Amino acid sequence: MQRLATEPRPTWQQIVEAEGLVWHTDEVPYWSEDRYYAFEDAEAEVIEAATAELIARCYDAVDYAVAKPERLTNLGIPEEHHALVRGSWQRQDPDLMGRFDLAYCGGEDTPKLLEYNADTPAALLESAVVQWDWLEGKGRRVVTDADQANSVHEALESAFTKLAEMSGGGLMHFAALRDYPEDAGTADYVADVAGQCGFEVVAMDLRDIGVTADGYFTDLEERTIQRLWKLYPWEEMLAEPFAANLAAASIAFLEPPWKLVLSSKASLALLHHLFPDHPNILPAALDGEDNALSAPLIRKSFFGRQGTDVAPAVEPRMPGKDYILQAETKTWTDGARHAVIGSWVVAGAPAGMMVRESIGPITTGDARFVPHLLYPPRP
Amino acid sequence: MRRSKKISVTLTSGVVAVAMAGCSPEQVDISTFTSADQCAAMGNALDACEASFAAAQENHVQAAPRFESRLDCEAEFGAQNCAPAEAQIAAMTGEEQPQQQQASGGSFFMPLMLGYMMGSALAPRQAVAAQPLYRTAGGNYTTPAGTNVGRSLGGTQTVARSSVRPATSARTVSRGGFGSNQARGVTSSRGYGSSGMG
Repeated sequence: MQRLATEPRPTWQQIVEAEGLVWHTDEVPYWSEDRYYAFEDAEAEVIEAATAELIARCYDAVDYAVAKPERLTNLGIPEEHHALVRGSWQRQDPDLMGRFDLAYCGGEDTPKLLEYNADTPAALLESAVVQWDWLEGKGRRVVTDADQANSVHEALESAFTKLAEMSGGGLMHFAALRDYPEDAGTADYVADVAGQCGFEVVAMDLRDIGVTADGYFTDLEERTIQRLWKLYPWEEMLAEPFAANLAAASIAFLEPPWKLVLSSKASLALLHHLFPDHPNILPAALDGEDNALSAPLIRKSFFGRQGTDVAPAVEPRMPGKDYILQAETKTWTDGARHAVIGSWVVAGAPAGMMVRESIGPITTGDARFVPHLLYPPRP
Repeated sequence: MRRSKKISVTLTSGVVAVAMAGCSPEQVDISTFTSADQCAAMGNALDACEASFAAAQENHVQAAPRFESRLDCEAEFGAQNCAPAEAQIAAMTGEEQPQQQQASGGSFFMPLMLGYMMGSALAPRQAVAAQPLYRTAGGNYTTPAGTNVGRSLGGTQTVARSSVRPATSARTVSRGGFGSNQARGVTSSRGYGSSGMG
């Protein structure tokens, strides 16, 4: 695993904007094509194998968690919504996507799960489309016959095609907070894929969802919402007024309610509890409980995003939230910056990789998205 | 996990449109019939015909345009083509429908359902919802939203998908019960899909 400098394509801003990535630069640069990461084919295989293994262990963890109410409570799921989560798992509601964040230093290093973004994974468009286009337009000029660990777009097409076949297609709504350009852009991309693979799609703002007297959810044109993809966290929805309508509503969600089990970082403690000697799972425990963890430890809140509420455990705990403690582990670094691997899971299978780079060891909202390539296999 | 096929991406009116062979219908095929029997007589499975007819009737109950007077309804749909909403719905569902009364106590009027449309049996994955068809005073068959599907029934045609998206009448009693903690018009802070650990 190497980090190399390269020239950005001269009109890169226009190119990535045309692909939908209008958020390539914020107050600080985000999409960064003045650098790239290069992996050996064998390293991509290490990541893929670890991802497949972690997917299986995560499903084991959900199955374990729904079996007893106290386990769901320990994940931060309110008791009044246990039935929703449990029922969703028992029905085997299909899930669409998630992204593991993995600490991996290259070569024969063992990837370690830092966390699983199981409900609202970011950087989808960048991964599925933009970095692939970089490979074709630039990466292959830098390294002849380079490849990329990336079939995220195809995996989404295949997933929606199967969902359409299972359900007979029909209308699917795509809801997000559309005044955030990244959220709207991501929702539009996913809706576009679904729309080409058997569904009739409607993009809308989550706040425009209505409810009828008989408990159906509706859009602004009074169509019943029967299938809803949402870019919005489950734990927030369950704390909002329409949560009262969820139990009785005839509606299918992507991601399904059972994904909330894995979206809570408390699931990292559960995974360690279930698989204490697992090579890819870091020691972790609920903060405040007796544990056998050794320092140094990182404290993470159950539902923090963008690296918020992630800090060394020696720092004071912020009140009012639930936390886990997780063993600190090394991420790839060249001394100046750190890189974390994002490994995509689509319809329960590994689908591709991405890399984010930050100055400190914790990946925050200021992290940069850096494209990658795979060296062609050596003869 | 490697080797995505070639993706060609174009920007269409502000939305990324990713084109990939084998997965892009914007046009759909529809069939129109006077009745489930006609549908079956033209070689379709009777139970599929009847299921679509029933779905079209349900959509008729929800989405048919409603008028305050028979005259207003007939002006659009022709003489003899309108009937009180209550009576039509009761005939279809066997139920009393008190909501179909106006504040004045008079009934609303709806056009009669004279046929229906459904997705073509040859293209089941296009996922077209069944809808009722009415005949306008001008002699065209139309959906509740007003899309013209021609002057006769008993055939198949290709139409834009957006023109046959089903409509329903207003029944929302409350809105904004999700995302209500989030203020609109946020400018610089990141949403849930933004980069970082999110």
